[in-house]
Amino acid sequence: MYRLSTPTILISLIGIGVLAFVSLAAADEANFRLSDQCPPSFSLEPDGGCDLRSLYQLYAEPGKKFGAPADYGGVRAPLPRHRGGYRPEVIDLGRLLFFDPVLSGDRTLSCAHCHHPDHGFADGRGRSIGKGGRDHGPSRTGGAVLDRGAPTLWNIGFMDRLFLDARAGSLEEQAIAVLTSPEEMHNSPQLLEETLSDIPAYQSLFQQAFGDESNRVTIEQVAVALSAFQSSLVSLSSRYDRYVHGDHDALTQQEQTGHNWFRSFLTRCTQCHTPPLFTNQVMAVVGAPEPVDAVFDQGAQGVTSSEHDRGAFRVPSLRNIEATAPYMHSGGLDTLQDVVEFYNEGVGNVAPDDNLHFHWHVPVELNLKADVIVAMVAFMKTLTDESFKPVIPEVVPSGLPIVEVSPSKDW
Amino acid sequence: MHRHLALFICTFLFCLGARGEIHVVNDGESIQASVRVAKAGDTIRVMPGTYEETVYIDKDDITLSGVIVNGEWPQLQGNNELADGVLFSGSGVTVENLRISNYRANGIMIQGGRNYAVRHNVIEHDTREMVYGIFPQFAKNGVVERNIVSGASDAAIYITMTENTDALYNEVFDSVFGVEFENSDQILFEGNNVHDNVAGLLTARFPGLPVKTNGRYVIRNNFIHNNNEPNPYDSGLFEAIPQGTGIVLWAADDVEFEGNVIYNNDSAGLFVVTHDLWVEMGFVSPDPEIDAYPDNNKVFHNMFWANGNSPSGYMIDLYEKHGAEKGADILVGEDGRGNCIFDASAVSSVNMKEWQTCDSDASTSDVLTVQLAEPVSGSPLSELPVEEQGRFVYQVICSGCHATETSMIGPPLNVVQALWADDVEGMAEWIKNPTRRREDYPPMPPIDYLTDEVRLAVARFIIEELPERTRRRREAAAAETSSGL
Repeated sequence: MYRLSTPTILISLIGIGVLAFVSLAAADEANFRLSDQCPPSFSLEPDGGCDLRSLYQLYAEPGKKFGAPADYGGVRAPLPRHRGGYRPEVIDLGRLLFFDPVLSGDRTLSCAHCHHPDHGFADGRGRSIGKGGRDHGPSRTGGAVLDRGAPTLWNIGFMDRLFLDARAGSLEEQAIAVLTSPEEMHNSPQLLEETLSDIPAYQSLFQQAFGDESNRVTIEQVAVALSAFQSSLVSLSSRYDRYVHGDHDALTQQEQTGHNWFRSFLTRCTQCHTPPLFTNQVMAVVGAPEPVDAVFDQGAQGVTSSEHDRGAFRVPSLRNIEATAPYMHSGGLDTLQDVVEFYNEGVGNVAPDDNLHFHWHVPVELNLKADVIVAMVAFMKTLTDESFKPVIPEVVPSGLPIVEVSPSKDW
Repeated sequence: MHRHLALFICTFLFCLGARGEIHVVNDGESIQASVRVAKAGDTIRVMPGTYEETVYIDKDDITLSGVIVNGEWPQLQGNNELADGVLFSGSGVTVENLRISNYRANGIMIQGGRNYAVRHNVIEHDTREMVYGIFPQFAKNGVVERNIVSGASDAAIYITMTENTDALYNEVFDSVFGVEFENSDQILFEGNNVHDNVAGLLTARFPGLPVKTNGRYVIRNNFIHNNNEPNPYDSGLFEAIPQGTGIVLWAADDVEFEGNVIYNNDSAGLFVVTHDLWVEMGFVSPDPEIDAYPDNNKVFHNMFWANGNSPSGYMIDLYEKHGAEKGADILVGEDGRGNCIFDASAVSSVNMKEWQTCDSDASTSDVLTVQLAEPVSGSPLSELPVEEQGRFVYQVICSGCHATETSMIGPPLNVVQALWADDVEGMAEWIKNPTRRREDYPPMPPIDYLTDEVRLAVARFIIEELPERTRRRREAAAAETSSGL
């Protein structure tokens, strides 16, 4: 539970008061310089772009494009294609935009409010709160309650289907959809472009990043910069990865037991949660329960109109899964233990709808023993790696207050 | 003198192929304990006895070999509690001479292994509650041969999303499917005895999987017979299993059937079906990304006898739908294009009107194996020249936390370079198990999973090569700026 202390309330009130007087030009004086270095794990290539470097690249067959059957599974499966190649300045501009509430129509909501680095780039909520709310992450209140939870952005640069119902095919498309959604950031391309173009700091930053002499910022540039930043959020250095790369003592006996059950074809977890990303990005109907206050979500059926996609969602990556409770598309399950137990009870238990075509690999009742379930949860926690968490800017070019850094539970 | 002797012995051993160590596991000991210490090239010999464990091999080039003494086999016993008998993901792994009993998930599972061999094993389940017997998934370039597999609640041998695999001289029985190939590419299935299952052989193009291919199979000189076990399932996908069918060709392409003996399968010897028909029957979901039709398949020089004598379930409806009063050797439920049969008059068939006659000289005799001429390379570090190993490791590991001149997660490398400038070997040793030097940075994780040579190569790269590269890059950048670009 979060408790508001008197000083915090006072500070908040002062903050609101100050805001009322601060014009958007306040941050003009701040000297923003975009980094010319690639983020951790990225290498600056001769074309000026940043490309990902990972030991997993050793496991690809030399000279072959990703996509052969053997590329999709096994401990040393190669990585799928990564959306890299952005210039370091574009990535860094994306970082500033990501944390800047100026992107929303009412200038209170940034990307980071629902995809916060301290909450696994999600928000710790079953269903996220869009327009009109206050605060960020699990403490966000008021405002429009959305149908689904914000998915994590860790390793999002590998995904070729965006949104849980896969309605976007690129990060850029996804960004523009959220920026202009009336329930979420509630902006319009025109207003967003005018707002950013009127902030001299942004004019200069967009020119640094895109080298465009025109003073007009475009929503497409915003989307590219946001995509560049998000593509830099890579998590591939967990204890599990040490095991893969050859440290055979990296996992405890319990975690290894969990790993073996996880990949066994009794549980069939790795059929969809295939390494190294622990997702094969397939659309799957698993029949997860909705939270008590939510109605059934038709998922991808809303995009394809196919009855077979009724209740289908993109298989999520399990990287950093420990950080993003509650689970499933709308937070119907509170803990990882609950998730394993949900699958253990077999396909169709607690199904939120009677007309689902379940994914074939959702297991039948498994009768796993309690210690096996605990071991599987322990294994999933070995996938935690937030070592390349980006730096949250202290000030953003709009001068608007950004989301708090690592709030203590005591405030 | 001694050096010469050592060299002689090494050369001699190498000639024998014994390049690794041999670990012997006796009854009462743990096989996994030997896997844990084994290195690439090692062989683990398992003596007769009972081993109640799951053996997992996430290492390359390991041979797990049972030793059979006077007919006594080493037995892995799952007691219907453990999930898998043996599972491996490493490349170059061989599993042989084991009896594997009563595991709940799989006898032997291969997840992503390349250049693999599974041979001469007996895999069984007393109450037919093992999911799969032998299960290559995402595997490439291997052989599954001379195994006896029974008691699978799904397929005794299940080859899925796998490439270049020879499956030879296995016996599969008392399972729901004898064999299933699914969304795979290039399989040679030869000389197997597939009998007394619910259905014999299934080639499946399953929806909703990342791999969409299904075909280029050679199915030759097998006995596929008496697959008439009752279907234990009456709902869901398993309801689709056509009890009493020798071979199900489900939207597979470029499959060649030659020289098989297919008899006494009560619903049909060969059942050809499109994905669409199964969607229409409510068994599976559509998948817009797959080719739903069985195309360019060839059936020649096979022996069909006494199939379709007593069809069951929906197979009866399908025969009726096509106006047949009784079953047949071959039933085409719904057809694709470009399929052919050479000896059509020697079989009874229903709805085969679209099939052409194959060339009289059709033959698969040029296919001796579908394994690759050379092992698949996983491009391990050791295959790069030493200088490149250093650069590669720097990029994939070190640069995650260190930049050349600025602080990231770890200190800048110019500090590191100053510190170790005269002691590259010391640095290589230190990164193996780093002691914490700075309170203002998190401790560095040990880089103990690389070989000494690779650690030395990366230390050399950082100390000797990186400063030069940084200088050159800065000069180039300065030149670019001054030239007005």
